[in-house]
Amino acid sequence: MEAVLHFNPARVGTTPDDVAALLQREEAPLRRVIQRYVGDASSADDVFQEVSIKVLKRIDTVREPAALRGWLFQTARNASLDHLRRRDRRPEVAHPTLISDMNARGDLGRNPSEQFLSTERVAAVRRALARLPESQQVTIRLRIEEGLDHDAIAQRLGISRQAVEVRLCRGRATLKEQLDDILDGGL
Amino acid sequence: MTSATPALTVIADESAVTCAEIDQMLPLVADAVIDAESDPLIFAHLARCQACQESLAQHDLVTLALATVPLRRAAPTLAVVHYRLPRRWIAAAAAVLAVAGSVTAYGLRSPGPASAVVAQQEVIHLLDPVTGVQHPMLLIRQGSQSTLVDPASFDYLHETPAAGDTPMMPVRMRY
Repeated sequence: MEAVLHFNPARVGTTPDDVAALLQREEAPLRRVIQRYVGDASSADDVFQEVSIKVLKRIDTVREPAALRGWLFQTARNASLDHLRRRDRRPEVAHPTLISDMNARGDLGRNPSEQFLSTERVAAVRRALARLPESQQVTIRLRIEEGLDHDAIAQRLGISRQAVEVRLCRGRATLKEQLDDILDGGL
Repeated sequence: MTSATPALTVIADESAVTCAEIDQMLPLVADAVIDAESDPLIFAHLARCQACQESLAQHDLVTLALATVPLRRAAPTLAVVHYRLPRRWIAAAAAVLAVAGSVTAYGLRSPGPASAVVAQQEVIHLLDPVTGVQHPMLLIRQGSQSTLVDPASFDYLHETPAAGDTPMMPVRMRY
């Protein structure tokens, strides 16, 4: 394990050169994180540029030096997820017949940039959700689809916040287990 | 007077956290309850552990898949979908569709001919009496008949139900 980071975000006088050196040193692991979500090299380049800008702008928010590497990981993961969300909101232009033809040929989800959130995977997750106990389904839907926080969910369902977190954790764990069956080759 | 901050900073020993312990926390990480600021040890582990990164990515996939707006994809693929409609929505659906004439609500629908897809579509919202949540539904009008579709439950790439799916309908209602 590398025990020393030659960069301290809390140090007065942090310069763009310091950030550039940090990014250069951490580029390989950050790109591995991005690649896992984004897939193709071109999109990964774009996301890495976004990460670089965010690091440059927000490095001063990291007050605890020990949190730096984890914060970099979180920044790369968040940027990758944002990229996927933006891509998913793009207008759909394909005609249904074309989609059916593509599906019959097995073309859907074959593009590396579409692989992480392929239509097959989305469908599998939705099927798995439908098999969860009703209490877990409702809690997960309120959290993810409705965007309610844990306190709001607890109030809505008349249960404790702790019970909400237990339902979410158990439900998510079950969904992940079922995903393992279709992701035996990894993400 | 403040003490000088050293330029070289030793990172905390993240080996104190095991993958098994991290795995228990990943649902909360995926749920944005835990972040790098609130729990730096977990994220320090994640930053260096490929296996835990893989697990977290699977949790993230679940989040993205369920947060995906289904209407955009569902609408053009109606000819190849089946879907489920919870029983408790039927009453609410009936009230909403009372003006639509002959109403058919399905929990399971076989693929129809491509021409059957050509119909007027609009989004309505049904109030779930249990959760109090408003659910967007797709109302498809074709002639005097309307079909109510739950886009959140679309399984839009499968022409036949998955093995574990239990048809909760069909229920045909006329008003």
